[in-house]
Amino acid sequence: MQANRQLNLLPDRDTEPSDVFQQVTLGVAYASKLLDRFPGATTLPEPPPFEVGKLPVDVYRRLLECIDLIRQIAGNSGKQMLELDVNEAHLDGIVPSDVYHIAALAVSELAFLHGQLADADAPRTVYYVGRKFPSHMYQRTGLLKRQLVALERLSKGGHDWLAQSP
Amino acid sequence: MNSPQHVTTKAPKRPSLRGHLVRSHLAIAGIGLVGLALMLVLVVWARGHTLRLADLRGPAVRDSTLALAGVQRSLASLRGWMVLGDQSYRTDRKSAWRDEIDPAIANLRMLSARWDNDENKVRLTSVLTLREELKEAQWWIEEVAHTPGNEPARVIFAQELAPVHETIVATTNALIDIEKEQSESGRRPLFAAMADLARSHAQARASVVEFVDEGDKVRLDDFRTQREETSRQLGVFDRSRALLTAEQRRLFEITEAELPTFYAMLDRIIEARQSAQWNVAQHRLAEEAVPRARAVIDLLRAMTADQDRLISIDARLVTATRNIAAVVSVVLMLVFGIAAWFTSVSPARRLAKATQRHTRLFKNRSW
Repeated sequence: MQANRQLNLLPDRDTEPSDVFQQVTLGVAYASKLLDRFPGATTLPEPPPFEVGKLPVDVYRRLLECIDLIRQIAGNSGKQMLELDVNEAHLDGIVPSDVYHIAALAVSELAFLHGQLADADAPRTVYYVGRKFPSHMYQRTGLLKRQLVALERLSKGGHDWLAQSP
Repeated sequence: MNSPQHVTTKAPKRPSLRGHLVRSHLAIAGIGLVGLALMLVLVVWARGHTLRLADLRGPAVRDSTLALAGVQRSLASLRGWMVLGDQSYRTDRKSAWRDEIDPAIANLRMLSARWDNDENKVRLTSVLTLREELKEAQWWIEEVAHTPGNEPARVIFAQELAPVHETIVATTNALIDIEKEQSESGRRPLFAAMADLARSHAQARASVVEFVDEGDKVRLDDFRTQREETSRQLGVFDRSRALLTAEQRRLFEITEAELPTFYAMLDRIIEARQSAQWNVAQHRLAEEAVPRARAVIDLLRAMTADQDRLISIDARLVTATRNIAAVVSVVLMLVFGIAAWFTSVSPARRLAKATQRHTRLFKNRSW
């Protein structure tokens, strides 16, 4: 009954920036677990400064950069990821639900890499964050990007980092 | 009277005055050089220990103490943020990491290359690992502490229970409103059951609200009582179903369908409130941040105590070396004096005799 209720509520409920924020935060949790495999690496770098006036499309672009980095990390690690080719013309009229889908894709790719780790700990649970704005999403995506840049640099060392125990 | 030639002809039997003077002066200079060399060794020894105190032991104690204070400050700021929600505590926590913990640990890493104590090197390696874990744990606590999700029971309350509760309140109120307009006799128990149902439903919710707020288990007993009362009222309705109007039956069916969901949600809320993680930030603080902070503090304290002990040893060595240097100086002064006496008296006596003889000869000639 409860599942049915939630399913019925789905069409009524728009995706909100807070959903994207939670999804990206889950990505941060996965990325920190991946960075944890490199001794001495900073698992949570300082987030970029908060910038007001950001739009969902800005977050979308930053998430595309994140997905590109994840693909490079996967390539460095001998894994393959989906190629995502987004036409610039399609970026007009991006809404939070589009951003949510791209964030979910980034998180699922990170979850795949995390799943390849030997003795992987589960990432931290992410809880409901309350009301958020696209600028919050943009800042949080910036934190994820910083993690991924570090991970891309570290993963260049070879394929075996995924198989190494912490 | 003996001529000077006569004096020189007798001289080869004994060492010459020149040789005697050279030997005595060299002996004095040799003793002085040995003494100076000994003093140099002592000074270099003391200098080495003093430099180690100034450049290695002292900074190591200072940096481990600074890191220790930083960890405690970061933890205090985190607690301040959790309790008061004041942004200045977040800034203070960041500052503790940026200005105290990170630079102090970076200095310790540099100094550790010159440490001769392997135990402290192992401790520092553990501190480096724990530092990253502690920093991350604090970040996650700070993130969740003032979000609605910090208390999952309240999120279920606000997001899931509220619409169901509003539906039940609306249907029971509508039932009562219709009942008020009914004039037939014998409906009084039904009216009372409707009022009781509305009351017990509201009270059941209120008891759970109080339980979520206070965590007082007495409220759970109240909740169970009101839940039983609601079931009893539903039984009354069921038995009086024939008396209900068509609209009342429709409304009753909605209420009957929604009530199990309502109570299932209340059970979930109670379970979430009874869970160890009912307050996520507090749980993470107790399970993740505090144990790691304690481990880091213990390691840093052990390192500080060890460096303190080494400082005491080095300080005692420096003091002992200086005392030895002072004693050696006094002994050297005495030895130097005695040696000077013995090596100078005989040549001086011979020189004096020779001089006297020369003087006498000179006087005789003049006469």
